[in-house]
Amino acid sequence: MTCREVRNELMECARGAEPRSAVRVHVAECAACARKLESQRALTAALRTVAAEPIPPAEELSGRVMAELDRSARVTRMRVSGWLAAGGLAAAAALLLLVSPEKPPAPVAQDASQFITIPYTVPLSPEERATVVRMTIPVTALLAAGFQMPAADPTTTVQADVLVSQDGRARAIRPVSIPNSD
Amino acid sequence: MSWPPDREGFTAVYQEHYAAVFRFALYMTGDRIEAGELTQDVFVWLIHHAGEFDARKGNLAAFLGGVARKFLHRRQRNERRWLPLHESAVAHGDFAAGIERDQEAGQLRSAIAALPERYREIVVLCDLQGHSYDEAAAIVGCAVGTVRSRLHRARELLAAKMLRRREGQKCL
Repeated sequence: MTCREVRNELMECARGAEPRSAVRVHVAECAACARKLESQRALTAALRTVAAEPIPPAEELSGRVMAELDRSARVTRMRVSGWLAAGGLAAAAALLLLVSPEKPPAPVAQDASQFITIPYTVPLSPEERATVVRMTIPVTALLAAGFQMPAADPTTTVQADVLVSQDGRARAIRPVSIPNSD
Repeated sequence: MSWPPDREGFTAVYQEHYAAVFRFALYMTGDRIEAGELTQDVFVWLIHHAGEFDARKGNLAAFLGGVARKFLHRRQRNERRWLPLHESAVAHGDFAAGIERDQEAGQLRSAIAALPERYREIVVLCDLQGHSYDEAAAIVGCAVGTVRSRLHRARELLAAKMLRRREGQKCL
């Protein structure tokens, strides 16, 4: 074997691979390649020392992560309870339809505070102007936006008022019907 | 464990993987504080994007390595906007300039910090973190042969630098 051929394999030998017999023979006879192998082995040992350096305990680096985990769980719980409340309201409205002789008007939420902020969007500030648009939204779109939905069937749709800010982006949503199958 | 995990599961994932992410960030930036920040960035991101991990495409350690790398590049882009040009990665190493108990390890850390990034990240992934060539290729997004040749070149540069320092010390 030539020095060039051997040197391609020296790195793997220095990293712990078993050298082929031809490489071993060459290194035994070639002082330059032997020095190269020795320096590579010394490098491997030094790298192991660096890799074994102590690092801070997990608790020291986890503050922001755990705070975000808890915040995220709180937001999810609020959204789920919001959907359940909306579902309850819609069920009550349906019951009224059954017992009332006259058809009641379509359920329209009275209070802007019933809007639920869409996940990962900035909530509207008080001075911002916005438009409310009633839409029929597939459950899959809500799931993709980050909502936790009680409905398991992804083919269903939801009727909701959507708060659209001046820049054209949807910022919050107010469900007005429970999920329905199309 | 189901994925995405619940709080208990996520804590277990954090405990298992934070050290590897921290080490990658530490050896790439040469700064313990920055490495800590970057480690938390990665796991905060994971809370909201756990669904992006696909176990069929690779293991979680490699996935997090890729995420850490992207955060590192984002930080470097932002820093370049504000720092003067002479504050390069080489001069960046307050951690390398600190008190070193093990002189050789300290010199090696400096030498790693001074490597061009394409070589540095391969040394960190393969030699300091024990990733296979396949895993390193997946994290960096290059061919396995490229990983091998970059590692070869990086180790040659490091060995030469270590040898020069040793010989310099003998002359003193």
